[in-house]
This record gives sequence, C-alpha cells and structure tokens, in this order.
Amino acid sequence: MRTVLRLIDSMSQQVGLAARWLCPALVLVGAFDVVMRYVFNAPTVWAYETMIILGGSIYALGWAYDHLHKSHIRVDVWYARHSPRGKAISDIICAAIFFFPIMVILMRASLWWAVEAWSMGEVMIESYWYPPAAPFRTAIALGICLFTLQGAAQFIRDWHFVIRREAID
Amino acid sequence: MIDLSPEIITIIMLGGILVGVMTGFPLGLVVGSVGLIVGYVLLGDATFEIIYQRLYSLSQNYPLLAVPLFTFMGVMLQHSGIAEGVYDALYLWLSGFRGGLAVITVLFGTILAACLGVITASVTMLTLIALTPMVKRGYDKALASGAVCAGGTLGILIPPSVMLVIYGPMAMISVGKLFMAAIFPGLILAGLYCAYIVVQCYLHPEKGPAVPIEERRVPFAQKTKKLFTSMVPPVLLILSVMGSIFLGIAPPTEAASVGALVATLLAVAYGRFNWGLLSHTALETLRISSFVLLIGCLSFSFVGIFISAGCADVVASVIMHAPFGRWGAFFAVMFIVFMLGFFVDWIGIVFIMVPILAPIGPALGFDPLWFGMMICVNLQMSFMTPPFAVSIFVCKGSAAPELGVTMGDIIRGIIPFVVLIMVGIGVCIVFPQVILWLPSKMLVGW
Repeated sequence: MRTVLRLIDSMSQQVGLAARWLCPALVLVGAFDVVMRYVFNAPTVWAYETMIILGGSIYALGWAYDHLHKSHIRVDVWYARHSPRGKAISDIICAAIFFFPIMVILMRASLWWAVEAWSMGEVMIESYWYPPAAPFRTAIALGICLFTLQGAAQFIRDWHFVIRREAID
Repeated sequence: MIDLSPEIITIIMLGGILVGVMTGFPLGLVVGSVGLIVGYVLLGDATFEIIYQRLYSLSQNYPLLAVPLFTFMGVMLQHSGIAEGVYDALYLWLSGFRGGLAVITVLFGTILAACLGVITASVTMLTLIALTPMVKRGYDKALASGAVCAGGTLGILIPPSVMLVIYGPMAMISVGKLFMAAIFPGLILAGLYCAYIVVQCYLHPEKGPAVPIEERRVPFAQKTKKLFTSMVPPVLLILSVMGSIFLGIAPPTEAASVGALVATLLAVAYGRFNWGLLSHTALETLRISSFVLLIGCLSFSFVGIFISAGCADVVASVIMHAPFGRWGAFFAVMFIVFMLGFFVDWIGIVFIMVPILAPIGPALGFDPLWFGMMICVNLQMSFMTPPFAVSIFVCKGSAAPELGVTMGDIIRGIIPFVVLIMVGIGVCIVFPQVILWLPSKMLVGW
C-alpha cells in the first residue's frame, strides 16, 4: 500500500514539475506574437490557441500537485483549530461528499471526450487555425485523473491516521 | 425530477456553499459539488455533461490567461531585487518625518501593487521589508501592521491585478477598461491611508517617531540619484504593460506576456537571473494559477446550474426590490459582498457572485464599469475582515517572531483602514468620474 501511495505522490509531483515549463513557454508565445504583429507586421495564426492550450494544461496538470502540497485554498477558520486527527476525520467526511462524486463524474466525462476527440478528429474553433482538440482534451483528462488519484491517496492516508493514530509513512 | 421553487433552490445552493466552505475542505471542490448535487436532483444525468463542459470552456478562457502571466511577472520581480532599491530610496527621503516610515510603507505598497498583482505577494514583501524597521524604531505596532496590511492589499486593486483579470471575464466587461478604471480609486485610497497616518502621528508623536537625522544624512544629489535609478525599472515595466493597454497596442493578456518577459529581462539586468530562479518562478506560477483556476472552473460549473435553475433571477429580483430604490439595491449588493468577505475567499466571491451580481448593475441603470469597480474596491475589505482575512494571516505569518506583533495588534491596526476604504467607496459614489474618466480616454476598449 505504501508503495502505491508513494507512486501516486511521485506521479503528481513529477507531472507538476514537468508542467511548470509550460509557464515560460506561455510567456514566450505571448510575447512572440506581440513582437511579430508590431515589429514585423506578421501576426501568427497559431499563437492565440497555442496560449489557450498551454494555459489550460498548466491549470489542470497542477491540480494534483497542489493537492499533494495542500495548496488548494481552504477557508480554514475552524479547520485550522482541529487536531490533526480532527482534520483527518473532517477530510474523510468531506471527501466522500465533495470530492469523489464530482471527480468520478469529471473523470468519466473527460476521458469519454478525450477518446471521442481522438477518434472523430475534433478541432478547436476559437480561431482560424483549427488545431486538433484531442491533445488538449487529453491534458485536461490527465489532470483530472491525477487529481482524483491524489485525492484517493490522501483519503487512504486520512483513514490510516484516524484508525492507527499514526501517519502511514 | 423533483419540483422545487427557484426561491428554495437558491437558498439551498447558497446556503450549501456557506456551510460546505466552513468545513475547511478545498473551496472549489465544495462549490462544484453543491452544484452537482442540486443539479442532479433537478436535472438528472444532464448535470454531468454541464459540469464537464463548463469546466472545459472556462479552462479555455483567453482573458484569464493573464492570471498565470501576471503571476509569472510578479514572482520574477519579487526576486529581482528591484523592490529593495525602491524602499531604500523612499527611506532616505521620507523617514525623517513623523510617521514617515508608515507613509513609506503605503507608498511602497502602491508601487509594488503596480508591479506585482500576485495574490498576497505585496503583503508578504511589505511585511518582510517594511514592518521590521517600523517596529524597531518604536512605531505603534497596530499602526505599523495596519499600514502593512492596507498598503499590501492595494496590490489586488491597483492594476495589473489578478482580481481585475478575473472580474472582467466573469462580468463580461473588458479587463483593460477595468485596469484603467482602478488607477484613480487605488491612488485615492493610498492618499487617504497616508493622510490618516500623518494625522495620527501628528496627534500622537509617540506612535511614529521620526528617524534621527544622523542615521539618514546623505547628500541631496546622491538621494536624488538613488530615487531616479531605483524608480526607472518599475516605471519602465508599468509603462510597458499599462501603456500598451491604454494606447491600444495590446490587450491585457498580451501585455501581460510582454510584462513577464520584461520582468525576466530586468532580473537578468540586475544579475539575479539564474536557472533556479526561472524554475522557482515557473513552479510558483503553476501552483498559484492552478488553485485559482480550480475554483474558477468548478464555480463556473456551479453558476451554470445556478442560472439554469432560475436562481440568478431570484437573487436579482430580491435585490431589485430592496427598499429605497436603486441606491437601496446598490447598497444591498455592497452589503452582500462585504458580508461574504468575512467568510469566503475573494477568489470564490468573484467567480461565484460576480456572474450573478454583475448584471444587476446595468439593470438598475448604473454604469457596469463603475458598478464593477465598486465591488472590487469593496472586496479589498475581505482581505482585512476577520475571521477569514488573508492579509492578516499573511502579515502575521511572515512577520519575524521577535518583533512581537500579535494578532490583536494587527486587527486593531486594520480597523481604521477598513473605515478608510468605506470612505473611498463614498468618494467614488459622489464622484463617479474618478472611475470613469480614464477608461473613457482609451483608444481601444479592450
């Protein structure tokens, strides 16, 4: 079990670390487009949607990383006052209501759409470039799946902590 | 499915959020799940597709790309060493006056605000750089920490600010116009803060003693040179970002890319740039934009269901029927935003409430830009009103423990500044031109 949990952690971590390089890429694409338009008077067709794809991938691929590092915003007025065990119990109950149902539904829908986008060759229609939508749909689906896994790992850790009164690792 | 009146559904959905958020579970997940549960009861399986499609569509929002871009710019600048130079220059000029250090804090906060735009980054920097000298000089701790929190909170109002970047697409008004609209209200607030500090320290000299002359004796020419050299980089950056938006050269998202690139080049010029800094900046950008957009995407799903259940109309009609006509309705909106600020994070408020509340402004005959700016100025108070007050937490969290600044000091110090924000709102109500003049001079309405 420990091995599985660590595997999930390291997947979230590595995907987050890898995806961070999309951020400087986003800056460069945006700046490149401005320079091309005003300095060379040659706007690109592809910059607009490339930026959208990069941005959406940054958000989605960071979700699991943020969950691993407990960076998602919580209104911790009361939460911060619980004991570690109290926090774990609260998180177990909340995960059952607020995490697993919505994530399972999002996972199903995002995977279905990713497969659909590959098989029917869906294109993105925000500009005149019409890039395939499949890679972007896949990135979103990947982000959602990793986030769900990370949540499951956290859930198992919380259970272990509540029952055994010690951290699993 | 089950037949419930829209009024009941509205209460269930908004009540569900308030209760759910209090559990301390990640905000975005709670909001999305309330939407999912209520949506499933009302619409059945169709809800699943709505939730995913709304998430997918918000993740492709072009104006919101300015969130990662301005975050990148801010984190890069935070480590570029520019800020310390500005502080030192202001210190030489103003520390000799009573309350001078607190005034510097506010001015410094204003300049940081125009450079950073990252959530809480200005409060952190102000605490680290400006709080220590004040406490060491024997400034009143409440006044000192109040100035830090209020000055730092200007960062979310004065453009380029992430809050305005989010407000624009949610209210369907131009981010560029919001940026221009926010400049004067931000400066007015900064002016009010400074005036308050000066008056306080004039009446109670012990609250903000002047720094003795022998510790700041520097030739005039050298002081002037320091001021100019330290101000050039931030001014260059602000002009490249705000100027290109104002002159219609680039919309905010593109201006943000240029700003992020210029910030990186400035870090190179200051000799602070290295692989580690780039990698740290990239990771912080990923981390921050990711949690912001989780709230964004799932709130967008929630709002989709909220609107299709007819709840937005319920909220609008309740507010429109407030007593005392359209001003009654206006103050009802302001009051709702203010009250939410005590308990909910501003990111949640903007993503959830703005799509619901923003259409009410024009329906009442208010200018949408003015109406939006009033909400944004108001939202600054959400950073400073406990129990959930981001600025207070950040200030307390990053203040060196040996300074002995307590939560009580900060809260006492912050109250007058919250009142000053209300005064600022009053000024913008009496003189709406403060907000509307600059956007009207823009060449292109991005």
